[in-house]
Amino acid sequence: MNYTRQHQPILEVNSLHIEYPINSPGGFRRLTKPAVIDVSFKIFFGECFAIVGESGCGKSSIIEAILGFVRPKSGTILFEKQNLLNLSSKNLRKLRPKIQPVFQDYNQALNPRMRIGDILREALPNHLQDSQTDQLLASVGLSREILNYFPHQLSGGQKQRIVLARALSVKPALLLLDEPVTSQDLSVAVQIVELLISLREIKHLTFLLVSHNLSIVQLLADRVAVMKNGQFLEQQPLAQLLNNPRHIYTKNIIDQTITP
Amino acid sequence: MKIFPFKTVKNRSLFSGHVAIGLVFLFLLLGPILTLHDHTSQDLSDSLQAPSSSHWMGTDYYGRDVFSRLVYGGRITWTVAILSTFIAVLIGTVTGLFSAYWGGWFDLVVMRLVDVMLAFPRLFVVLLIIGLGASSINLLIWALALFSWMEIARIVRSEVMSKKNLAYVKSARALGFGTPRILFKHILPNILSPVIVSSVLLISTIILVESGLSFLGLGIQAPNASWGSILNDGKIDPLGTWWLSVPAGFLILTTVVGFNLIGDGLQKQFDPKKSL
Ligand SMILES: Nc1ncnc2c1ncn2[C@@H]1O[C@H](COP(=O)(O)OP(=O)(O)O)[C@@H](O)[C@H]1O
Ligand SMILES: [Mg+2]
Repeated sequence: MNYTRQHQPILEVNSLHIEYPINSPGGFRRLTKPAVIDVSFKIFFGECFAIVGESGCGKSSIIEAILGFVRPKSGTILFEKQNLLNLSSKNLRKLRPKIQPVFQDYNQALNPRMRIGDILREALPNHLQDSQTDQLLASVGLSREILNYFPHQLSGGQKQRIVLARALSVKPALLLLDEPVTSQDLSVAVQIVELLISLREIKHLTFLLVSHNLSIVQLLADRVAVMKNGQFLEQQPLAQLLNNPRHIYTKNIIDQTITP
Repeated sequence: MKIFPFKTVKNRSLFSGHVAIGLVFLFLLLGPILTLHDHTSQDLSDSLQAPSSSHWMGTDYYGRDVFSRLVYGGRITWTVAILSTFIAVLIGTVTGLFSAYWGGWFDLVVMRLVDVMLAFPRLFVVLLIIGLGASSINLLIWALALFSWMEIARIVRSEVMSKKNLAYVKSARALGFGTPRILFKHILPNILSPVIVSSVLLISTIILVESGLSFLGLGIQAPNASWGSILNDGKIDPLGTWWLSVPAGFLILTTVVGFNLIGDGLQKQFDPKKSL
């Protein structure tokens, strides 16, 4: 990796606020509930930045906002210096392939009516489809037979690998990993984490990892933010965070995590 | 107990529905080969004859052959029902898809329109439209279609709402795909089952409405026939001229029940959690 590039942020989130409407029984006043409060962070090229915090603290909401699925109440989200929140929908669509999500629910991540081959080919230019699908499959450690299968014929681990392969098909720079292995069996989870580590190297990817599980975060993250009730409590490089947590909440999480 | 003779048939409603519709379809398909009579040619000297070897199902007031009128009338009834269902499903699916996916003011306007249109009894409105315009088969088809798309739109909308936040739809958006591709490739194929079920049920509803209109003399006009109008021809003396009322009523009933059975059967077929 180019040294100067490494010290440029690929993603910069400033004072992000996200609210959701609440359905009130009377309903003439629009009530809202804050989900993300004044969150700021930077992710540099090539690093893995992780957000750890218990379920419901607002992690996925940040990811949804970066993907443009949730409109924040205020704040800016700069991707390679462009504010995603000000882009026209046409320009946003052009930029979208650069940021690819991987969701927790691998069972709903693939269109049940499409064969794996069609899922992988869908975003590829026609003339490259055959050579590229082979490469994509190889890069996630799967063989060609799988191309004719439907998603329900795959194991959980295979599905998540296809999700990764599909994301890689559009040559992303940033992967948003929302609890990527939380629903997997432990042995499969370890394999997927190993795959993520090697893909990050080979494809020069940057990761935003979100998880409630510090033991997964430990395996991947360079820097970690601890989130609670919509707010960041602290953010530090991983080793510093583990050795020297500034917040009692962080300390509790570390104590609860069994370290081998 | 062997009430149902076909042990191998798991989905009995689907099977019986197919048999009923298949038989009526064969009747409509092969009917013209079996009859030498034209369904519109009159012969007043032959008025209201009971079934005989020359007229298998007798004649009506104008001496027209009832068998051929049942065949050609049935063809008109089926064509009207299938075409208006097709139009209604098309309108309902497209409005439902965009309503749910775009949301906002479009959704609001479309759903209020659906509410308002559902508030009117369909038969009444169709009657009004036909009463105002010159009656023609095209007008009938469009009137039936324009007052039948709302249920489909509602079903499609709620199905899309349940799918549009699933991970594969979000992933498709993240890949940069446009709205038409997401709607028609990623969402529509996954909501087809309930749309197909309600379309089949809609066919039988429309057949009932059309038969009702024709029975009242407002649907298909003479010299053309439909099952409803043949039923009407026999209404002065339903028992005396049973060959006018009974076969037409039987065909309407078989078709309506048949499509309903297919609809129910498909619903069970598509939903493996329900026992058959
Ligand atoms: N679409 C939504 N509508 C309303 N409330 C939501 C929605 N999505 C999330 N929330 C609420 O926002 C809070 C944060 O949720 P989320 O970002 O999913 O947290 P996490 O990913 O950390 O579990 C939760 O209280 C959740 O109930
Ligand atoms: Mg979450």
